[in-house]
Amino acid sequence: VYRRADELTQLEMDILGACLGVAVRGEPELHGFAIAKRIADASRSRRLTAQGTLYQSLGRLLARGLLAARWEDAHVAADEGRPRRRYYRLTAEGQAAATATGPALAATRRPEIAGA
Amino acid sequence: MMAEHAPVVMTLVAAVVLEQLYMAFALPVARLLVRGWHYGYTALAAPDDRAERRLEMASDAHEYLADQLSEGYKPGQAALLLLGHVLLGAWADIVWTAAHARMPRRPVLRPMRSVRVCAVSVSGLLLGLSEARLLLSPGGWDTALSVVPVLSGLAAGAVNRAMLRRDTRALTRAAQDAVRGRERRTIGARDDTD
Repeated sequence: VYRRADELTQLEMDILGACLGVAVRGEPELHGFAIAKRIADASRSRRLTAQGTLYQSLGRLLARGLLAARWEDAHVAADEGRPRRRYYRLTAEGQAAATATGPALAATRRPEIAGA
Repeated sequence: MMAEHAPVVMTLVAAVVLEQLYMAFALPVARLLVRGWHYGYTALAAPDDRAERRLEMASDAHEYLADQLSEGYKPGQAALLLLGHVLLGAWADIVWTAAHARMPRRPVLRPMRSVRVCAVSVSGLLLGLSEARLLLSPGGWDTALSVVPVLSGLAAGAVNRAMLRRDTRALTRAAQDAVRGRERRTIGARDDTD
């Protein structure tokens, strides 16, 4: 199956859906692992998206300007004794794309993410 | 009676010791392997990309382990799950490496070196195969042994000489181009002065 370069993959749609879901609830950004967790929770799956696969999709969405990212303050991470997180949030374009993919997402196997 | 049960007892003790060792070391070893993988596949990237990627992957691995442990998995199980989490995405990591690897400084000579390595490997493989055929044939042992050094030496020498000639030609061409470029610049500067 060939995919157009500007077409979103299922995982990319899921990521946008997860970000849109938290944005609606007033939580503007999520770190990579939290996105994977939300996608798994929404599809009621115990298996999380593999590390490389998830960040490859996040990178593509960043490059297309659908997501923006920022690094967490080093002091916050140090206080909590963990590595710094990179937070992702939807851009205006990303929000439009996520809203537009809502119906498409609803038709696929993971309907909960679109409605989140 | 005791002697009869000794092997069973020994096996049980060994199993318990091994399990304890696994529980104690599985997590640090898994962390080490994952970090090694992250350092390995990012090694060719530009310093900024490399540092960002390593930090993000370390953060993800940390969050993943914390999540698995909080869900009640034992450290040994969490270690295996972490390895699976990273391994299943290894292909995407390799794709990332291909996209972010820096270009070699001397693009003219690098491909030639790899051509030489390939040529020597292929000739070695062919020699090995023909030797194996000789060895398997009836009475072929002596013939095979006597032919090995001669053939190997001839093949490796020929391949090296050919590749060396190619390298020399490329270097000569590069030097000639450099001289021509310098001459052109000198003439241009002279014209400007006139």
